[in-house]
Amino acid sequence: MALLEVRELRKAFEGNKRATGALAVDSLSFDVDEGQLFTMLGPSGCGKTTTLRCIAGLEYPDAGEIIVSGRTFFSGAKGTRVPANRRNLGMVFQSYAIWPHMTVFQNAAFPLAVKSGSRRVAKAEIVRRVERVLAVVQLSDLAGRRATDLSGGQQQRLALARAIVMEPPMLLLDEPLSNLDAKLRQEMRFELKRLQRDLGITTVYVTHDQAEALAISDRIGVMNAGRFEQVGGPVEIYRSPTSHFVADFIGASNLLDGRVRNRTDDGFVVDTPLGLLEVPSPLHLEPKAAVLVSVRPEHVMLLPVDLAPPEAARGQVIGRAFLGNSIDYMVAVGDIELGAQLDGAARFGEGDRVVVVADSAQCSLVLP
Amino acid sequence: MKAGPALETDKWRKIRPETLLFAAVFFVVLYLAVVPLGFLLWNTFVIDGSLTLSNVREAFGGTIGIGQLAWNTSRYAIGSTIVSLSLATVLAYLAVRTDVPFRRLIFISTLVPLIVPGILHTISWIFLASERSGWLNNFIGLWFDWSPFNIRSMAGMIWIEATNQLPLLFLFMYAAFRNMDPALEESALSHGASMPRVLRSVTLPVLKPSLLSAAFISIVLALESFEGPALVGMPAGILVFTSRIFMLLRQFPPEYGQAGAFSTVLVVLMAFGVFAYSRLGRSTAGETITGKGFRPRRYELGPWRIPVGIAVLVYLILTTALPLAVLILMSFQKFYAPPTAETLGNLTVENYAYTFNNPDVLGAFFNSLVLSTGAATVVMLLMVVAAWLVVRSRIRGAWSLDAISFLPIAIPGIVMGVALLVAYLYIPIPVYGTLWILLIAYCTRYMPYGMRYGTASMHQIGGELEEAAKTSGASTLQTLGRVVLPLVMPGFIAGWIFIVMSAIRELSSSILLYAPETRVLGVVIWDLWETGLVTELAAAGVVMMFLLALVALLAKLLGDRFGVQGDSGPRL
Repeated sequence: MALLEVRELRKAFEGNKRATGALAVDSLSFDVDEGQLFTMLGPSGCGKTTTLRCIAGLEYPDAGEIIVSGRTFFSGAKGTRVPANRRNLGMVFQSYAIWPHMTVFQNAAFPLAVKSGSRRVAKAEIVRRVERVLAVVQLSDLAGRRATDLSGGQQQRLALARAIVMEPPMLLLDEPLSNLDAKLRQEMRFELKRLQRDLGITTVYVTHDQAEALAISDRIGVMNAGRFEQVGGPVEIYRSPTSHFVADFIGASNLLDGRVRNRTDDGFVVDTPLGLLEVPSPLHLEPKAAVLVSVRPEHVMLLPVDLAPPEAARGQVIGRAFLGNSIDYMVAVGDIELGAQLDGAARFGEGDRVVVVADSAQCSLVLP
Repeated sequence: MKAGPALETDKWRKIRPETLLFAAVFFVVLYLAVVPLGFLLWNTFVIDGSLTLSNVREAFGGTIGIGQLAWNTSRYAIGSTIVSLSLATVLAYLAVRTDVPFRRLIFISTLVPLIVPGILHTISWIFLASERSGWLNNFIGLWFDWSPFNIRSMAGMIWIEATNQLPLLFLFMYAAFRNMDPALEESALSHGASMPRVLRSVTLPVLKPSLLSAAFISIVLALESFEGPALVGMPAGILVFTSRIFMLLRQFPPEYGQAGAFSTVLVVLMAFGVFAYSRLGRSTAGETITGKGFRPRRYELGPWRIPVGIAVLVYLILTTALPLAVLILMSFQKFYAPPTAETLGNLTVENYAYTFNNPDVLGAFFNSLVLSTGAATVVMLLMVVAAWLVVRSRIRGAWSLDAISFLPIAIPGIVMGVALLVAYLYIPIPVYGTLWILLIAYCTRYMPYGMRYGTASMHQIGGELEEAAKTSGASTLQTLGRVVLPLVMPGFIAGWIFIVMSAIRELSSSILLYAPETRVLGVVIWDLWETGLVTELAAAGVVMMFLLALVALLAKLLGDRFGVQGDSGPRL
């Protein structure tokens, strides 16, 4: 049994968008198995944060079901609505929401301190558990400090500590790294993943940063306009995008208009502006069908004109950006423009005529 | 799928604690804000069960009719606006854009109205500018046979009101100038425009929304002003709406109906003024605030620095130092006399002995303290909860709390007094002649300010701080107690202090609602004035201002400790 089951979640927009009838979350369904890190990835406004907040109980959807460990937290059909403070899910907010009037220790202890009645936790027990959790996030020596004294990265770790101190069955993270500077973000990515692995805690993660999603997720749901365009593992999503949107959103990608020539054993031969490409694909396509070929810039090769076979596509470099260890090129081939990413030692300059070759084994086909 | 065994669902709990809280707060706020006015309107427009305009006709056509009142009030309001706004704007411009000397003093002088109640301000000017024995005429009389100043005139009334409003308008225009990017003026200058041209073509147009807003604030303040029109206008036969209403209630028998008619006119005018101000306040046409901060550049006055500096100093002495000096000197005199070598040699402390021994005066100190702290506590507690409901809760219609709690701002103190007098003639709660009716008046009058402080605080506390408490398992009450209340404390204290100081200075409601045992400070000062005990009045006044200064000091200390953001008071 999956730890989290979301069924046909629907939520309309609030406020003045309501009139358009568009849905913020449009019949979303997905499962998350125990111990997995599932990421909802998408641009702003795609509904990922709304979905997360519905799971947390901070908002109520209009219809659908949310079930955690077999307990129904929300059911539109049955009228079940469990309020947020009864769901026992650890949530980390984008702004961390650290309470400025409390110390680090008090912040982390809060979920235990508010347990009342039969669930009361003894003082000594609180101290023990908080100290343990602070040690896990490496904030032990700051326990007595006012929470406002912490840096952004430290606050983020405190928010995490607060979320896990109540030993919840699931963790909800709302863009936890987006407020950190680039370097810290990279470091914290690994920290988060390590923590999640060590604790074995099921996690739902929300982000718009596709590199982050690819780096840490077990499974990714790429969201657009309230729906999942594709759900799968990072490699699958990256290598085999099934839609225009996913191909475009995940990594940079060139999308070439193509027409199917014939089938091959594991794909199709497609006629493209770069010539005939033999692309592997699980899709079912007829000859003469229109299709898009997704080529990542790192799989586009530029060769000097004199070294190329005569039938290779020719183009002209119209843009060049040195990035240190790589160079981004913009190449015009006929009417279209392609992005290519070459090694930092590449010598082509603006205006150079080049031959453009795509590594067709690395391409994927996307329905237009 | 069944719900797990130990899980409580929300199904059976139809009524959330939030909803109960909302109902309670809504009822109290509605009762305070709407009921008195409702009774007043009913009493004015309904006789023996049917609608009638006879009260209006009697009032408007009376010995001092609507025409004269409207004319006087217009002159008073517009006159004081022109004087105070121009002075305030010039001063603010100098303070923000130039290297004018005495900037610090200018700012300190803006604190004065917080500590000097309107009645003392008015009385001190009466003594300064009285035709026969005023300080100013006396001083000029040493050299010339000329008495140019006569406070008992429309001009005198306008001057008193203008000087009372100046500090607030100064702060307002100061903020407006600070928010104006000097690059606008500088680019004009760099294109060859002269300074006067720049002021005319760039500064003033950009400033227009702020100037209009400030003008409306000033008009509203003048409309509701009472002490000046009562102490100076009434003896001179110059009546405005507030003083006319007062007279109608002081005569025997009191004319509630006619007072109600004029009150209605006044409230409508003020509501319009407040509405205009808030609309203008929202227009961003003149706003040049960008995300990037900018340094206001100061122009050097150069050779003008000395004359301008002298002018500012004269202004400060005239508007701040002199009135205080009058009161302080008077408090040490046996009887009022302008300062000469002779009179200065004849000083005494018997007025202070009077103040500290007179049971009425001491009783008034006690009453004022009790009422002000009581009202402040009630209002802030109520409004913090109300603000939370308005800003945070998802209860539909909670926004109405904001609107209703704001209504009293359009009701001048004197009208509030009339309304409560009328209301409790009918409502069978025995508050007449007790401290309770005064408490109700104060709570109602200061509700809007409490709400402003409350909502400002709530907006500062991010919604996620409460949501984090929720996801951590805290109940609504726990969230309020452990997260919201501690974070709202600085705003709570700021509002509390503001209301305490305003309530201590209050007069126009108290003057109608007091009983011999429930006199407050403003009323006692008024009584001393009416019985001619001016030197005793001065001493009591000085002690009263001392008390207010102490509260202001307390505010500063608490502010430093609790980290209150600098705030000289809420915007209307």
